[in-house]
Amino acid sequence: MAAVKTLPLRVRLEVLVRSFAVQGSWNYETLIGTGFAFTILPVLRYLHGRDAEAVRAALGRHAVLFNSHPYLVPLAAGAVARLEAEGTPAQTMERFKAALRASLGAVGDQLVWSAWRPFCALVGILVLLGGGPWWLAVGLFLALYNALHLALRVWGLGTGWRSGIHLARAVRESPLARLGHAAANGAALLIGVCGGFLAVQTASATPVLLVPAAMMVGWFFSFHARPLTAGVLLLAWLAATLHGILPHVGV
Amino acid sequence: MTPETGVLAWLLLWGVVAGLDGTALCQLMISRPLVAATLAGVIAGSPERGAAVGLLLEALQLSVAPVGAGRFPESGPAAVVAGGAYAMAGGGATLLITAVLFALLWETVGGYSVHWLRTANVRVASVPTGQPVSVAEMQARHGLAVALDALRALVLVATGLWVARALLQIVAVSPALSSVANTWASWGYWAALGLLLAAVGRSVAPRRIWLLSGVLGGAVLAWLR
Repeated sequence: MAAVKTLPLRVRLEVLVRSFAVQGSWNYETLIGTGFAFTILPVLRYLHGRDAEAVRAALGRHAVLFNSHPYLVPLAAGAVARLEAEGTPAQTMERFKAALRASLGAVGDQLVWSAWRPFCALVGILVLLGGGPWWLAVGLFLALYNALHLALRVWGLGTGWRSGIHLARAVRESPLARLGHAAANGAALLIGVCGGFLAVQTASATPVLLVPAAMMVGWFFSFHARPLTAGVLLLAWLAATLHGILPHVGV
Repeated sequence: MTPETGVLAWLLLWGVVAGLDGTALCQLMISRPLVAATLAGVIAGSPERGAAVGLLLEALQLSVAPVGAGRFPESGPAAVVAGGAYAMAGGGATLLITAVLFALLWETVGGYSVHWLRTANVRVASVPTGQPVSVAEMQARHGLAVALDALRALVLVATGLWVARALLQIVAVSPALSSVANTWASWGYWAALGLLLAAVGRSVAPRRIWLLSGVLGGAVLAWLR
């Protein structure tokens, strides 16, 4: 295999597109292992040319246990592609991927699931609470959210390829952690805005202390938010249906 | 094909798309309740009703983070079912919270179906560890897993729509839909939303300056309107 300085645009685009399906075969044994092999296949074909046995062997190496935040899979794919191109021994690649599993999962979860997604969702919620049109709420949420999502994928593939085995340093020096911190602060601000807005806005449409009291329950029993919400809704539903039915049965 | 059959067909398609977006393909977050329920409402002729369902379900999902291999409720197909069924049912707060309550149940059913799929995928999708594997076999396994997920979503949405519509029709013809009953129901809706926002707020309590600033700002905004 000759030294490879860069991947052709066609190969990079194929990897990017395939990365959108990396979780298609998620399972409890290899997690996204098969999906990772699916994603990195264009690189393996490019590097190994017509050597079908080499491609089969490489696929077998990569269809093993692996996990990552889905948006950071191109980051891992780029780095692993670089290691493949440099002829890195299989054991070294295996250890590298094992080290990536926990770190890419944690970085992605903190940035995207715990900060950016709630921030974008709260923008949409605030638009609806404020009486804005549904298309603005939906459009803003999708546009904001996917701006970062797509940027992460594109940035990840290039950074992974350039960094190779030094990926950890590249991630440490990236703005991902600062971005996550800023998004989490923004989400906290927006939760407050939504809560304050709701409490005042509903003061005339509901018994004046109802929503603040519900908020106190939610605050102090936050770990049971889901069953409590179901309970509140069920109580309201029972009150509504019984109120409607009882007069008709002479009560 | 009647207009209603056409709407149901589009809702089924949208439900499959939302089901796949949740994990298997793209993850553009069109499976989030805010989007899935609202666009189900668009399909069914009332985006505002879909958005009302989506708003509460989205607030509920804010507290769910799909980390690692944990099992969690699946919101996309349930939001399509609830948003679409409510939009077709004709409005009113009692029907709204009936739809939302059904969605909570259907999210749990969806979560179990995802668990079933991931267990099935161990046989379908994982290849013998470290052994060479052909391109055709690997891609076939991966594709079959995606197809199974689509089938799972289709069954979930079809069953959910059938049950939800029947439930909403029963409630709709009952004498429960007086304006007073709807008032009780709307109080329940706003109380549930407040509860959820506060629960999520508790999770960001360490950022209390931001949280409190937001509360003050939101209250002033509402007062000025």
